Amino acid sequence: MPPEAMPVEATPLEATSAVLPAESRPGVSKPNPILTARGLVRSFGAFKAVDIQNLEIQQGVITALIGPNGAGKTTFFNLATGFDDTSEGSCWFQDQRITGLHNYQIARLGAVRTFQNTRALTRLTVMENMLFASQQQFGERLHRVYGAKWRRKEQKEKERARELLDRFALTHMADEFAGTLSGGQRKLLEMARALMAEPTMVLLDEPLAGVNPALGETILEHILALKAGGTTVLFIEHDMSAVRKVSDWVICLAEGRVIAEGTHGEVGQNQLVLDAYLGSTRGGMSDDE
Amino acid sequence: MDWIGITVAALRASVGPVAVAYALAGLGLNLQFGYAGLWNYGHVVAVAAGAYGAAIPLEAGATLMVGVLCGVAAALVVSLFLGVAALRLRLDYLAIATIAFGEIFRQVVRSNWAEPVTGGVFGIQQFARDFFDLNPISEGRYGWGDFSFDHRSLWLMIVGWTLIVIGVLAMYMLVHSPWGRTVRAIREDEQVARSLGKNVFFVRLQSFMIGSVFGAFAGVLLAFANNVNPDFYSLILTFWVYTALLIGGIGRVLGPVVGAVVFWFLFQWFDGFMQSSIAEGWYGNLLQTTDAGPFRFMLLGLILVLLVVLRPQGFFGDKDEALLDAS
Ligand SMILES: Nc1ncnc2c1ncn2[C@@H]1O[C@H](COP(=O)(O)OP(=O)(O)O)[C@@H](O)[C@H]1O
Ligand SMILES: [Mg+2]
Repeated sequence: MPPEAMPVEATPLEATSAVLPAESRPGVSKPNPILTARGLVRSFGAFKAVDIQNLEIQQGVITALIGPNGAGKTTFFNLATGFDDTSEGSCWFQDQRITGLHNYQIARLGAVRTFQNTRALTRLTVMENMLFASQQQFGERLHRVYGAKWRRKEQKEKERARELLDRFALTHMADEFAGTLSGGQRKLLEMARALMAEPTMVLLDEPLAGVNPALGETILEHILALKAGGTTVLFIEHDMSAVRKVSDWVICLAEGRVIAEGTHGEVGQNQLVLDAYLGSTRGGMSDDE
Repeated sequence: MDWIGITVAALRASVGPVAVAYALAGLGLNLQFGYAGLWNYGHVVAVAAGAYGAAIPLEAGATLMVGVLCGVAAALVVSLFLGVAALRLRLDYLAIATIAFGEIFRQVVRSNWAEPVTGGVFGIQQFARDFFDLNPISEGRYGWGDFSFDHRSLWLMIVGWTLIVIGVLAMYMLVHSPWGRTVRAIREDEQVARSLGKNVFFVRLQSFMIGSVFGAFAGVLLAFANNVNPDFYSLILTFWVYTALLIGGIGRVLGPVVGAVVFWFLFQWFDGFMQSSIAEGWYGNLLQTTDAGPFRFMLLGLILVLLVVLRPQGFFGDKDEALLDAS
């Protein structure tokens, strides 16, 4: 499916039935929050990389997290998914306090993140990358390894993995080592693999970074498809045009704080946001980390 | 020079009881290092725990079954302790922790105050009677010409190679299961594994302890073959098992078995060659017969270096996989 043939035109608000918040101010409460942060601080010495009073991520919609380089976006992801230690405050996922839980426990609750730098498990095949991500592997428990049952159960998982690989145009690579994939294919595999875990929410750290425009469009389509399938998406992105195409809601972070929230139209015209981008030391609205 | 004699002696060593023990220890180390990516430089601890764990109760009069189980249990306890302490560290610290622990363990068992239990520097002898009483082979030497074994060695080899067959099958099923897939995935990238809900510490601890069980069986077998002597279980043993593993191919189920056989063939062959060539005066006054020992180690070291440089996948490995960018 050549991405150029299917330009993403959907205005997200038409595609979603979710009711967005009436107000657009930082920290505004939302109808159906899935992820909540209160007084969340991560300090490195005297420097606060994240300092969020109040933030709610709404269930069932696509939220973009924008902000200049070093704004604390990745650090916020790390705090929310247990990959970094919170200095103050807490996060809740579906009404459960997750601050203090291990990262793998948070993932098991249904919040699965990806990383800014693509991470393929290179010496596993593409299919193994997929199967390993599943949470339903009967034979993943040591005491069941020598039973016969897991082989039967694994067939179902393989079926699911094949469907996903098909969706991400990776079927022909299923039996190759993931290390042989191109950079773009690795990005796709990473998304497909996250979906294999059947998350209720995915947190994608710069899914569009370093991919060519055609693949970028494809990835945006996949993000829209995720929402259609009922998965909540929070993704980090700089490029406002990409954000505009898919996001229902935009949150802008600068120097660790939420400085603006709203639809992409509102945030795109917010003077604080424009200043933050212009004032950021590295300038511009792009990021090459 | 008796080339045939040297080669036959090398062949004999390559399938003998010590090679068998190396293969068993290598199976465990391969799970830890090859599949789980754990830098365990203290594998000798599991081997020694197996040897002492079995020898101490056997010497005190326990039955053979109890002795062997105690050896395995000792390795499990020691690896649980070391694993809980060290597997939370970054993996490069794990390497240092295991080296240190290996040396501490040896110093403790050979210390004066442990002597009443471990025999101190003298070790433990004459505890394997029950094992050899089970030997169905009547006294004598068996084989063809120089390629022959006495009834004791043969009994050790029968038991040992049976253990290897069982061990290889068990390992094959283990690493080809979903559990094994998760173990390998964690080796590739532990953060990805965590992001997908895997309890990295727990799975590593499992592989570490299972690897130690294989080490324990190697230790029990070595104890039956050679008695128990603390200085046999020095750090270098771990490195020889690594060398064998590298020869056979890391991350392949049969790698450690092939590696142990080839390693002991080369080791014995170099030994015979150096002994004979020195005795025949090839090097004039440069080398004495006492130099043969150090020289075979140098030759093995050279092989290790050449392997790492030229064939990181081992003699029999698949080069593509070894060269895949691990990042
Ligand atoms: N481990 C760390 N130690 C010290 N400073 C850090 C660490 N991680 C992140 N930071 C700092 O926190 C700030 C936010 O970083 P990050 O969250 O990666 O930004 P973003 O993803 O928005 O580009 C940066 O100034 C960065 O230098
Ligand atoms: Mg970042």
